[in-house]
Amino acid sequence: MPRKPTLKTLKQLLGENADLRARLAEAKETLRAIRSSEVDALVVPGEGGEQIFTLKGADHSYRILIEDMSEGALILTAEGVILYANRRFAEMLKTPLEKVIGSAIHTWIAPDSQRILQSLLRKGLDEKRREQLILTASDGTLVPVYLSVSNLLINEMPDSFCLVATDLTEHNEAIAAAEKLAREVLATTNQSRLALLSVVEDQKQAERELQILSSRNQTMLEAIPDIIMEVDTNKTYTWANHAGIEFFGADVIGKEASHYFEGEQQTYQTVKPIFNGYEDILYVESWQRRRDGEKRLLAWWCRVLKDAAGNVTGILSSARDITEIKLAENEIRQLNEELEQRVRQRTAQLETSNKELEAFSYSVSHDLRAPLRAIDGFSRIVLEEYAPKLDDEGRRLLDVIAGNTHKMGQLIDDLLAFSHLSRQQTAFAPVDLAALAAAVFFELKNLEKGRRIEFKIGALPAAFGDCSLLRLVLQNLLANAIKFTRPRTRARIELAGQAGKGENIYHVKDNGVGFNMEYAHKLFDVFQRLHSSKEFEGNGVGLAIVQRIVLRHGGRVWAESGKSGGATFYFTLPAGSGSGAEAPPAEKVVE
Amino acid sequence: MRGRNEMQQINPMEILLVEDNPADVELTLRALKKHNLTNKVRVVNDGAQALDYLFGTGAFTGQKNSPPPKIVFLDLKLPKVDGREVLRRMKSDDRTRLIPVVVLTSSKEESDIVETYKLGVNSYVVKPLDFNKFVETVSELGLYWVLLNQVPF
Repeated sequence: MPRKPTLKTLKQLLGENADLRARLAEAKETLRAIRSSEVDALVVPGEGGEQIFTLKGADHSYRILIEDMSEGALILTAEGVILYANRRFAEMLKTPLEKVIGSAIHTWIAPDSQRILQSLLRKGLDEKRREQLILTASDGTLVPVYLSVSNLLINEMPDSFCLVATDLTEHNEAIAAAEKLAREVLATTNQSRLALLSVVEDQKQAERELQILSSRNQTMLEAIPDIIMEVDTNKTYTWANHAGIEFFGADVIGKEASHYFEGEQQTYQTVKPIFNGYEDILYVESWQRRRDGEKRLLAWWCRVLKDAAGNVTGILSSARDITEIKLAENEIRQLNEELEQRVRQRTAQLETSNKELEAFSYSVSHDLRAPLRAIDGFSRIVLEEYAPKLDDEGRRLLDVIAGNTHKMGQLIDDLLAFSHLSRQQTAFAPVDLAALAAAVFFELKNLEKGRRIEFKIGALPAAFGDCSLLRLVLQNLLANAIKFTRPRTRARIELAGQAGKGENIYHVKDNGVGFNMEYAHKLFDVFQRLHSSKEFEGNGVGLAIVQRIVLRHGGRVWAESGKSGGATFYFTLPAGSGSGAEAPPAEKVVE
Repeated sequence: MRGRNEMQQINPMEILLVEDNPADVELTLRALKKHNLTNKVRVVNDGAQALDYLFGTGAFTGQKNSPPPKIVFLDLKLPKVDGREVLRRMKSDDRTRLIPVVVLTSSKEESDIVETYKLGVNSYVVKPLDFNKFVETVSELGLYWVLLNQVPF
């Protein structure tokens, strides 16, 4: 039975307080000593006297082991208070050791891992358990650890646990890296596998295409009518297409090429360079015997075949049967030669003929004129000097002589001009027809004194031709117009033109006596006249000259006449370069 | 140097007419009569004679006339030596090169005209067929070349 407590005095209380403080300080000191491993045992005064307590696990070497090992170690009470923790564990938690010891374990456990811890501790009562969970360091860092729990059987502390925490951070990182690597490897492997598959697929595709190509080529080669053959380096035929087999016979395969060049040693020499690898491409024509025995001319194109290293592996040749073509060529050549021979002969004949014509013209020029001059001259002299001795009739007769010589002179001139035309060289150039016509008219008008002649030049499409020849055309047409308008009091002559399809059409129109359209087709013939010489002089050469010249230019002529008179003479000239430009109309009125 | 105003009696042969056709000769002389030039005319009938006369050879040896004629009327178509050859010889010899030559011919052929000009002819005249015109032409030629034209000798 405890003694009845007596009231203590203040002094006594103060003294007890001081005593308690001292003992507390001592206990703290002891605890500190124990914590810092300064003491191994405790002498604790108890009821039966002093007792020595040896601190379990106080063995120094074990302490060093625990302190220095790379795992965290801690001792927990059943309630989860950390009685002891090693330095490593404190490091894991990034917390000073003093703060760790005495703290509750669950404060260092991540929320997700609380339950794991609880189950760990529960199970840990019976057996050794290990679980992975996450600690929370003081700065919030999550530390993955492997926690191993075992029940500590300390008489004084039942249900306390010993825990070992293995930091899995690096471990996890390593695993993560390994996994990443594994994934990468797997990915690479997958890619390679896909690539390989793709390659294989491509190969299959390529093979299929090759097959198609090959069979198409095969068909083409067979379909080509030309002969295609292949020889190897031993000059033996190794392949021939259908046409080749047809020509040489099926037994050509395996035969030597020289076998087929019988009597064609010349050709064989030509072909040698390609066989010997000196040439890459060769063309040669050679006569070869077809399998039916007939000799045919083949045109060979040979091409050398080389392997990747550039060594000659054989020759691929293509040949065409040109027998008929060659024969045709020869025939043509022969015909051409004959033709040229004939042309040369004809040309020589023409040249001779031309020369003769020239001599003729020249002769006419000189020799016909001289006597004519004499006739005219002497008859005039008679007229002049013997006038008194002549009567009217005599004079008239002499006039007739003079008149006729005049005519003949004119005829000679016209004939010469006409024949001259065909020999003349033409020089084609742009021609100003209006100016030409004006000049010609001016000359002609001067010969017709005392007449009113009105000459109008209308718009003229640009002309292209020989200037001197076109002058002759205008000369003849205008002379005619002037001549046949003589009966008119007022002669009206017009020159005009217009552009047609690919040609320009010009015309000379007059208000003269015109002509009978019934005989229009004779107008342009040589020496044809539609009027008597009594009415109008002339020898019918003028229009023939006009026609010849216009035809020479590639144009045509025709004429029209009105019932009551008037005539229009048309001529065309092909529209040359510079067509379209028209000359301005000009009027010439001549008294 | 003789004065140009004087009648040149000493050498009346001022015109050399080279013409083979007698009718033409006669007509030409008649025409020249118009200006009283007939007594100054020397007629030869072919090319050879013309050259002999001009160079004092053949039939005219020893009769070298100086000064030379004032004008030569030359027909082209001549026997023996033709007009072109006479012209060529005249124009290539220093003794006769300066003598004016007028080709008086029937030919209108352009080739003749061109060729004679190339050889150095002074003038080319076509003999008109018409008598009246002929007379007119020849007399005018005579007037011009003998009376009007100046010569260097």
